Amino acid sequence: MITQAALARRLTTIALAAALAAGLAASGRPALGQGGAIRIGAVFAVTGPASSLGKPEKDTAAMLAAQLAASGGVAGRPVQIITYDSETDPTKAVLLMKKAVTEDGVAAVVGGTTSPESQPMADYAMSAEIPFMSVAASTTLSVPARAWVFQMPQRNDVAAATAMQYLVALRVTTFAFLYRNDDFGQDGLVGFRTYARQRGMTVVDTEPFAATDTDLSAQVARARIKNPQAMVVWSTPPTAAIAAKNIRQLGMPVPILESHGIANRAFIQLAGPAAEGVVFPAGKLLVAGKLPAGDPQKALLERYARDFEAANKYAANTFGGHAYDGITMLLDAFRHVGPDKAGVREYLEHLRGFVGTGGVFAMSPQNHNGLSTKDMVLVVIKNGAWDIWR
Amino acid sequence: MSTLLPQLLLTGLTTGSIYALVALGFVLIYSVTGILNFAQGEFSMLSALVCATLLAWHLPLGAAALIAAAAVCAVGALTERLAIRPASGAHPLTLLIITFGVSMAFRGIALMLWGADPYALPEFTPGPALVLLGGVLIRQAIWAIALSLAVVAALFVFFARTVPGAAVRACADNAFASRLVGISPRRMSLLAFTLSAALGAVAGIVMTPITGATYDMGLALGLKGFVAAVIGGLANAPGAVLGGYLVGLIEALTTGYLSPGYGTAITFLVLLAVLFLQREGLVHGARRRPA
Repeated sequence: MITQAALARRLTTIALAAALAAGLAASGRPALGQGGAIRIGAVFAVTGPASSLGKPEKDTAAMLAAQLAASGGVAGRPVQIITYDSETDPTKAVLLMKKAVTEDGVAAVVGGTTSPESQPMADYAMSAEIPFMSVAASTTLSVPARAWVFQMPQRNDVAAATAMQYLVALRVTTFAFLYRNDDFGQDGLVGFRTYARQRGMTVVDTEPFAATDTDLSAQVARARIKNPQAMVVWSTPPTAAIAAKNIRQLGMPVPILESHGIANRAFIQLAGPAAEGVVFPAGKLLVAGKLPAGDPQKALLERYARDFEAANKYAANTFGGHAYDGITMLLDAFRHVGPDKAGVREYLEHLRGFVGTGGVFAMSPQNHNGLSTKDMVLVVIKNGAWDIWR
Repeated sequence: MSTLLPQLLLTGLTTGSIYALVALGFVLIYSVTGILNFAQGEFSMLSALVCATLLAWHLPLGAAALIAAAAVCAVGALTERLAIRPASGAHPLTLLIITFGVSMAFRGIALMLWGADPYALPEFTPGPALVLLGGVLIRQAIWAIALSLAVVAALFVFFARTVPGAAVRACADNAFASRLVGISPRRMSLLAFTLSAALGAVAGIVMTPITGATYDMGLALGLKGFVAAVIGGLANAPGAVLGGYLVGLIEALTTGYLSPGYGTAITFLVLLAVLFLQREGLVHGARRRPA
């Protein structure tokens, strides 16, 4: 027979345990209900081979998080940005995204620094039905458009189309195409072949090379025999710089057109004098100070660059800009429709005239990137600095 | 195609001279200790990145190169002391795996310190390239070829004419007998690692003005150097140099005449062919006896 006192004690214990469990659950589970913090998951390659891209992305997220904390969030609700490091590993990237969605209860995910990371994350976004803002540039991420996947950078095919404008302006009829033999380079090759056919130009030579190659003079020598009127190089440093050097070393005086992959200081340092006169397509951030006063992005780009440099003590770059666009676009959606996933997706899909660092986005159900050649400029390297071409 | 050949040969000689230096590093350590040091490429990477950093601190190129090489020699010695010596007497496979671990550690540290961006070094003597038989040879390539030959000559003199050199050779020949006459195989092992690091440092610093330097350059470089060393006989210094030039030329010629994608594949096919047909490499040397 249980005495009254014992029963009371037992009930107290049960009540305490229940309260404790509830408390644990509350701290472990995010409050998703009205009034709690809205969470954004940010999965970037902060370390690993793509850290030079992922670090500015993470630093941009941290800067925005600080601004959100100061301003009190969006529509009266605090916004938290939870950052994860994928270590440039596609498997880790998608696992961290799952953790963000299932354990940390985020309303949307930004990230996927490299295309190999973004691809499985996009697949997961489709199955988990969560808005995913990819910061990688592969054309296949938003062509064809997928319901839950949005792409922030200017796509590789848009960059190729912008680059092609240079060859059109030069009125060349033949060019040689040197490319890194991977997704990035082959993306470019397909683009250039197509545009060349449309414009009546001839690709007289195509020369693949590996990302680890240390000398490309054999490829350049092969191309030289075909007498191209221009050399196009589709890669990133160091090979992009080695190609430019080898072209000049082998005495080819023709114009050199490179990809948006050289939009960093490393190219100018590595290529040295061979960088002079090289033209490449890029987002407007690189030449923000030189944009005409009427440019819709000018004010935003200058503000982002200023804020970023003040917070991080190094210069802002386009990669951080993609993270900025992904997060601010989500904030805009939260402001209008709240953190409802389906609502956010619907809102983003019809977002038009959104001014970001990558361009003025014009989304549609068929186009989840929303950027065009209008959002890129041709940049020329002059005296070791960037300038708008013409 | 005749206009292509001179350029391909010159390109092959340039990259070949770098491979030769790395291959020599492999041979030096292998012949003294019996260890295949897969951290060899990382010595080049470290020297190049340290040199670039010192240059950014406004040191003159010569001083930066010397300090970087000295620092990497110290790294080589430390590698021997801290990673190889504690496991001395272990199975060769264990030691090989240790060197893999060391190389991964160096790569990870370099990624933390320098990031993934490539670094540049200026050419030693800037100026227009030389035109040779219709091919173009840049000045830095002349440096690379000359330095690799000079280093081989210096090593030859060291081994043939000096007492420490003779001691290393004795140790490579028969570690037990050399201990009987008072040569410490341990000290020779330390010397071999330090010298190999120096060779790697020279390769790294001389190639960077041509190629740029990244934290992950050591892996591909070490692999090519290893192939060159094996083709040359693995315990044979002149063979390693020949192997280096051969690998460079094969790469350039396959890139030029077949397809750029095949360079590495053909190189490894040649390696397999050499191993099948001539176990001790193309150049017969003194075979290493088990110590």
